[in-house]
Amino acid sequence: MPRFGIKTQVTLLSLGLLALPLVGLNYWGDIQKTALTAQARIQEVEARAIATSLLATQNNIRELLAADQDSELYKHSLSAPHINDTIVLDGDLRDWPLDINPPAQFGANNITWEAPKGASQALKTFELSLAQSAKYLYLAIAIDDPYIIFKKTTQLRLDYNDHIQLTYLDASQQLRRIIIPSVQEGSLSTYYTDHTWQYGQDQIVGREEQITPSHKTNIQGYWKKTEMGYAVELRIPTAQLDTLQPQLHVAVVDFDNLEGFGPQKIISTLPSGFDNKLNPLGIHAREFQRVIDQLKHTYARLWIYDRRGREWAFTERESSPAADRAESAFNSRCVQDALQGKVEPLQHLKGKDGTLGRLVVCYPIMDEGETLGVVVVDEAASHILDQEETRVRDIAAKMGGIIAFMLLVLFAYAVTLVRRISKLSEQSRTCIDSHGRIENTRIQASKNFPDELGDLSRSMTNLLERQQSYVDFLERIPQTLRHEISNPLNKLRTSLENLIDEAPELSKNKYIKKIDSGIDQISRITLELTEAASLESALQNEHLIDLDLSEFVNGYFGNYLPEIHFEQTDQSSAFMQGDASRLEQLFDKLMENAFSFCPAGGEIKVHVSKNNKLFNVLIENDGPMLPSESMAELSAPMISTRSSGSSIHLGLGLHIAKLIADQHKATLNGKNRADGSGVIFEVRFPLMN
Amino acid sequence: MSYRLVIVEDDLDQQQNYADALERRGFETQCFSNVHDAIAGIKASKPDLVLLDVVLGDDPDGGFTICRRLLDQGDDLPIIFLTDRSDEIDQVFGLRLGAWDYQTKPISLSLLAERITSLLRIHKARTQSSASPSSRENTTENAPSQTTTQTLDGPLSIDEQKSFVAWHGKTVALTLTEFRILYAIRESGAGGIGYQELSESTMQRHVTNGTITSHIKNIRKKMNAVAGEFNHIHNKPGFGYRWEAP
Repeated sequence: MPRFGIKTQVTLLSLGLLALPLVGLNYWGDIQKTALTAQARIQEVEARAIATSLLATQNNIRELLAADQDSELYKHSLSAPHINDTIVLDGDLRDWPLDINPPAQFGANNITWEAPKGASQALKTFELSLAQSAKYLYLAIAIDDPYIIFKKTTQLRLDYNDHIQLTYLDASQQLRRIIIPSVQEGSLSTYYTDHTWQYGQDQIVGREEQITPSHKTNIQGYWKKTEMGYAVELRIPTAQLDTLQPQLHVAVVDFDNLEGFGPQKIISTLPSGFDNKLNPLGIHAREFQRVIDQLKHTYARLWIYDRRGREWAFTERESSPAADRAESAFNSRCVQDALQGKVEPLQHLKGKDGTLGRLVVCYPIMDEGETLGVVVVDEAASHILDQEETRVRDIAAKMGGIIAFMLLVLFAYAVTLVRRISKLSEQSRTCIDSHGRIENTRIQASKNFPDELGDLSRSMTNLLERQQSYVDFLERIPQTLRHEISNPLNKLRTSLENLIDEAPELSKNKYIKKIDSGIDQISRITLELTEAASLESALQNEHLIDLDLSEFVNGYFGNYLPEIHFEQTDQSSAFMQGDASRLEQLFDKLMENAFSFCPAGGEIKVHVSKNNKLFNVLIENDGPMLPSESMAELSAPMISTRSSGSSIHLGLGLHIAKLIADQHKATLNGKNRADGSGVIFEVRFPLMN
Repeated sequence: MSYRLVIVEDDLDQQQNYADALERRGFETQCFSNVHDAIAGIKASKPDLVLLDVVLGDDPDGGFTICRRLLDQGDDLPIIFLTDRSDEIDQVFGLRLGAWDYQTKPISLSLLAERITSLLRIHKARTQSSASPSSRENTTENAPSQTTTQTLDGPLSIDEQKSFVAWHGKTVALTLTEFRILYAIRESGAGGIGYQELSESTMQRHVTNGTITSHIKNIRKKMNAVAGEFNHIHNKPGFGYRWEAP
């Protein structure tokens, strides 16, 4: 069975604590869902409030949002997506968000005038991009006209060169015409003009009705030559376009031949057939913008669209992610659902990493059952969850810290516990020696701890003390027995002697002889018991000296010849630490044992051999086999495992022999012959180097 | 003239048995069974020898008390302990108090009578020949005057009649049993003497080889303690002991 220590067990169990972060993670998931649901509900309420507010405050909202919804003109609306960054007027269109709002191209379908004799170098197309910031409307016009005619400095007319015509309704609903001649690369000049588009013309602008010089248009720009022709960047203050129905018209006029009498070609943002019309311009309406600007710190982004996708108002929090700024929400499923009249469209948009990116709620602006537009409230999921996440992270960090601390504490506790148990185990193991004798009854480990281990330590001490008391009692039995038996035995012995002295003829009485023999036997038994009982303590106090074991056994077993068969293969000296009288006692017991169990006619053999380290004495005799080959059982005192006939056999002999062998660090083993004809006892003595 | 013996034994049956056996062998006996009566009786009429049990009634050391009280007065009175207390510490304690012998029960009455006779003879010999105040074997360090029974073996001198042993001129305090064992080994010469004969020389009924060995160790210890290395008793494994002359 594999071993699982307490340290391993506690560590494995402690791993269960790791489930807490999992639970916490699950809880975080629930919190996210709850927070997003609540946020979606708030956004929906907000969107509804905006829609309701617009309907309540804008009396003409129906006219605004639904005006000319079905007219052909609206199909040519100019869209100006919102930007936050300023566009540098340098003719370079790379800082335009062209990927979000691709430029619209105007070409053959939008030729509003063309000279009867077209030239090969004539204007082909132009591309128009628009963008709006909080203050300006930006225009980028890329013109495909490889042959450019510039305005001469001496020339007063502004239209005898390639130029751009700009028409719009200003805040006072006045139609303004701006002509932008091609002069040279660099900052360009713009001029108010009249319907003839020939000269600059001063204008009365604003409520003060002061005359504004023709070149004070407040429109700035940059003219740059390109591979295809030239490009113009323009910036118009949105204040100048701030009407409920902003309109703007752009026309590119191409001159190819100064010798001619007019332009070669005019391409405009409206096809022919829309004379005196301007393109509807999708810039933000001030009233609408005001409504949602109040919420620009609350939400990432808000839009108001009409059904055609015109962005009537837009606002966003400054800290919104830059990458998503200019993206229009109009084409999203959410907006389209809202335009279909669904009142609770909600969309979860995935971020780039696949996680929840934004939460978009769209609410229709409905009047008399008709959907006029839609309010879009967009919030980044990260903004919603950041605060919660910070709290959860804080809790998770604390929880992680507590778990780590608890793991450390548990591990330290396990180590301490294991150390205490090991110490207790070690001390309890050394309390009893290899022979089963109690050497120490006081276990010190954990004895002063007020816990279960302390209880165990104290219980073991108590157990050992009781066991020691019992062992003491058992060990005192022989002495006690002798003390108690000596007096009655002495009484018997002296009485018997006196009886025989008084009546000498009784000395031959067989019963008297048996009594005498019995008393002798009891006397010897008590003597042997006493000797065996005191032997152990006597051995502990004896000092061993250098002894030639080879000489000793030669002399010892020589005294048994010729009764035994004795063989000593090597009679050279073999020194060890020993006590001759004790060794004599040891071999006496083994020989007594051999003689007592050897049947009449049987043989006792002694074989002595040695090598550099060990001195072996084998004593074997014919006779009954040992019931057990375990020396622990054979040498147990007071247990005689074999019947020895009529002689006394207390089973003390092997016990005494074993004690003396232990004193000499020798091993004593008994085994049966393989053929079952007798037993062999072997003593192995360690020799000195 | 018969010797008068005092027997102090609380078991009246044993007391009676001792008295019967000893009187039968010509001794006069006087018996006591407690400390008080014994001391009073002995002081009233000094005996030639005292047999003492150690445990007397409820007094576990009654015999020791009597011994100390008698010998503290300077009497040179032979005392033999006859007791069931066989622990070595008790034997040592009894002999140090000044007892001449310490016998554990059960005893043989005939061997006891022999020991008493032997002790009385020794006592008489010492008393008659010695000008010194005491010749008790375990007290004096001065060699007694030479007698006709004394034999010399190098630095060892032995007087069998007085059970006297001196090593390098200094008396060795051997017990009667130890003296008899030493004497028997000394007499056996280089051929040695077996355990059985040594057992018989102790004048005790049951003596094991271990008991003989224990006595030999005590002899060596006492001789070495008195003067120099004593290395003249050698073990003959499985047989007994032999003497190697100094």
